[in-house]
Amino acid sequence: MSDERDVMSRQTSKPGQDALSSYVQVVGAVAWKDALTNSRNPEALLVMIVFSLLSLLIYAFAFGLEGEVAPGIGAGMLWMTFAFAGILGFYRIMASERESGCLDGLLLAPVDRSAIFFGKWIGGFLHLLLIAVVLVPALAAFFGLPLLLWKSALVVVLFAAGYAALGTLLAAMTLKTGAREILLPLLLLPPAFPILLAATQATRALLMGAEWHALAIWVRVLVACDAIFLTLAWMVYDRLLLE
Amino acid sequence: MIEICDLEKRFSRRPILSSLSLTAAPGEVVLIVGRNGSGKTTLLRVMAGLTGFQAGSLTIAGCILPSDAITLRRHIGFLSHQIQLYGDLTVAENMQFFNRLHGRRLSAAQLDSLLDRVGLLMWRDEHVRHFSRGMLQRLDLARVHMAQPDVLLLDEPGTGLDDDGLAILSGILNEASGQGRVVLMTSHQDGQVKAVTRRLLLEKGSLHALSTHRAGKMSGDVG
Amino acid sequence: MDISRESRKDRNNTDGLILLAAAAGLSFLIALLVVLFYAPREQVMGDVQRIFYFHVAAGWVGGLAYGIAAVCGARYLWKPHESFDDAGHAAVEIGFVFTLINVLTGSIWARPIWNTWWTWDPRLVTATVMAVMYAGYLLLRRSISNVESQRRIAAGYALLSFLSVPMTFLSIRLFRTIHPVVFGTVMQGDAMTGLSNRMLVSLAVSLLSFSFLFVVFLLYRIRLSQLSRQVEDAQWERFEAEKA
Repeated sequence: MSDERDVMSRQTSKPGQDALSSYVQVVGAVAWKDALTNSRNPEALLVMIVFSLLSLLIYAFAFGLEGEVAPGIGAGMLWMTFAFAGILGFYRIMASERESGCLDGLLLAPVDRSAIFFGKWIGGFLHLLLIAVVLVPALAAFFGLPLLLWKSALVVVLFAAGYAALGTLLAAMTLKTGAREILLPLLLLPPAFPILLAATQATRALLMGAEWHALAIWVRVLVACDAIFLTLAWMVYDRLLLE
Repeated sequence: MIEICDLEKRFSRRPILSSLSLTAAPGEVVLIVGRNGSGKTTLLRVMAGLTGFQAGSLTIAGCILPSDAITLRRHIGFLSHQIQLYGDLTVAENMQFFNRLHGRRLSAAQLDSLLDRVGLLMWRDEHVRHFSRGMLQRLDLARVHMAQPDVLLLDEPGTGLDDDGLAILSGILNEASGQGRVVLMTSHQDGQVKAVTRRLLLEKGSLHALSTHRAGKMSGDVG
Repeated sequence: MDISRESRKDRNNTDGLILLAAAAGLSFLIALLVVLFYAPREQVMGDVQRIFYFHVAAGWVGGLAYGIAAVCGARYLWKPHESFDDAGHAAVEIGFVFTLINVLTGSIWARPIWNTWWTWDPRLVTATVMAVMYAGYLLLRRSISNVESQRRIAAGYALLSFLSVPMTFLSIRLFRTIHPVVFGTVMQGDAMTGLSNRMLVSLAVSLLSFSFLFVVFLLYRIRLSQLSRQVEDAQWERFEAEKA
C-alpha cells in the first residue's frame, strides 16, 4: 500500500489564514451536513409549516376575526405563531448528534468549537426563514394584510437571526437535561422577549402605514440584540460543550 | 510521542484515574486491557482532549494538554465507543463531511481505494442507517484511518468485527506502526489483534505491565 | 480530613456570620421603623405609598443579585472554580425571592391607587420576566445530573439571561413612550421625581438594609453549599475506607 500521506492535499498557507479558513470550512461543513440531513427528513419542517398555518386559523376563530384585522392583532398573530413554530425546529438542531452519539466527531474538529455554533445557527436561521416564506404570505392572504414588502422581510430576517442564535445556544445547553421538551421554551422565550417585542412593534408600525422612522427604532433594537446574542454565543459555546 | 505523567481524573469525587503514567514511542501499538468501568474510555477521552483532568501532565505529539488542545486534534484520530457516523448520509457523504471538518480533501479515487481496503466499496452510495454494527465499525475505522494521524486512539476497535474485520484492523495497525505512528487501543479482553507490541492493564486507576502469560489467562488467546 | 479542626474553624466563621445576621436583622428593624414613622405621609397616595420603599429595595436586590450571578457565571466559564458557582447559584436563589417580593409589592401598591392588580410599567414587566428566568435557571440546574455540566451550563444561562434584561427593559420603555397608557404608567417615575429629603433618607435606609440582608443570606447560602460538599466528601472517604 503506497503512502497516501503525500497524495492527500492539505492547506499550506500562513498560520493565521490557516486557522480562519479551517474555521470557516468547519462552519460550512456543519451547515452543509445539517442541510443534507434535514432535506432527507423533511417531515419536521413540514410539521412546523402546517402547525403555523393551523395556529393562524385557531387565532382567527379565537379572536373572532373576519374581514379587516387591526394592525396590532395582525402583528401579534404573525410573531406568536412564528415564535412557537420556531421552537419546534430548535429541538431538532442537535437531533442527529443526539441520535447517533456523534458529538465527539464534531468536537474533535481542529478549530474553536464556536464554529459548530455558527454552522448550526445557519441551519436554524434558514429553517425559520422557510417557515416565514409560507407564513407571511398566508397571513397576507387570509387577512388582507399588506405584509409583502421588503420591510417585512428585513424584520423577519433580523428576528430570525437573533431567535436562531438563542435557540442554537439553548439546544446546546439542554443537550444533557432530562426534560428538554419542557425546558427549552421556558428558557428560550424570556431572553427572546426584546426581539419579540421589537419585531411585533415593527410589523405593527408597518401595517399602520407608518413611515420608515417608526420602524427604524425597532430595527435598531433587533440589530443590537442580534449582535449581543451572537457575540455571547461565540464567546461561550466552547465552554458549554465541554465534559 | 506520548508522555503521560501522574494523571489524575475524577468524576464528581470518584477517582477514575490516579497516578497514571505512560510513555509510548513512534511505531508502538499499545493495548490497554481492563474490566468494564476501569477507566479505559476515560483515559482515551482525556488524551483526545474531550474531557479535562485534575492533575498531571500530558504531552501528545508535541502538544501539551490542555493548552494545545485544538492543535492536538490535527494529530490524532479518535475512534469512540459510539459510532460517529450520520445515518441519513451515505458512506461517501460521511467521509466527505469528516474530511471537510479537518480541512482535508479526498478525491473520488482515494475514497474508493479506502473503502475497498475496509471492504465497503460497493456500499459507497448507501445510507449508513441500514448498516450492521460490523459494517459501521469498519467504516468508522476507515474514517479514523483516512488522514493517517500521528496518534491513533481506538476505544475497543474490535467491537462487532468478524474475522475479516479483525484482519483489516490488524492491517491498519501494522501500517500505522510501520509508518512510525503510535496506536493506543483499549479492549476488555486481550488476544483479538495480532499487531500489538505492548500490553498494559488498567486497574485501580493506573497502568501496569501485562505479561503474555497473564494475558493468555484473561481470555482465550485467539491471535 | 480532621473533623475537629474543621469544626473549630467553622465555629469561628459561624460566630462571625451570626453577628452579621444579627446586625442585618437590626438594620431591617430600623428600616421598618423609619419607613413606618419617619417617612412622611405622601400627599396623593397616603400611607399605602410606604410600601414603595421596600418595593424599590427588593427590586434593587433582585437586579444586584442577577448581576452577581452573571459575573460569577462569566468567571466560572473562564476559569472554573466551585466557589464562583456557589456564589452564582446562591445569588439566583436569593434574587428570585427578592424579585418575587418586588413584583408582589408592586401589585399590592397598584391595587388601592389605580384599582388594578397589574400595571404595564416597564420595571414591573422586566422584573416579572427576570423572575421567570430565575426560575428557569433553577429548573435547568435541577435537570442536569452531571455536576460539572450543571455548573457550566447554569453559568452560561445566568450570563445569557442577564444580558437580555437591560434590552427587555429598554424595549418596553421604548414601547411605552410610543404608546403611553392612561393609568399606571409612571408609577415609579412620579414617585421618584417628587421625593422630599425625608423620603430620600427613608429610601436610602431601606436600600441599605435590604442590601445588608442580601449579603447575609448570600453568605449563609454559600456556606450551606460548602458544608454540604464537605459532608459528601466525608461520606465518600468513609465509603472508600470501608471498601479497602
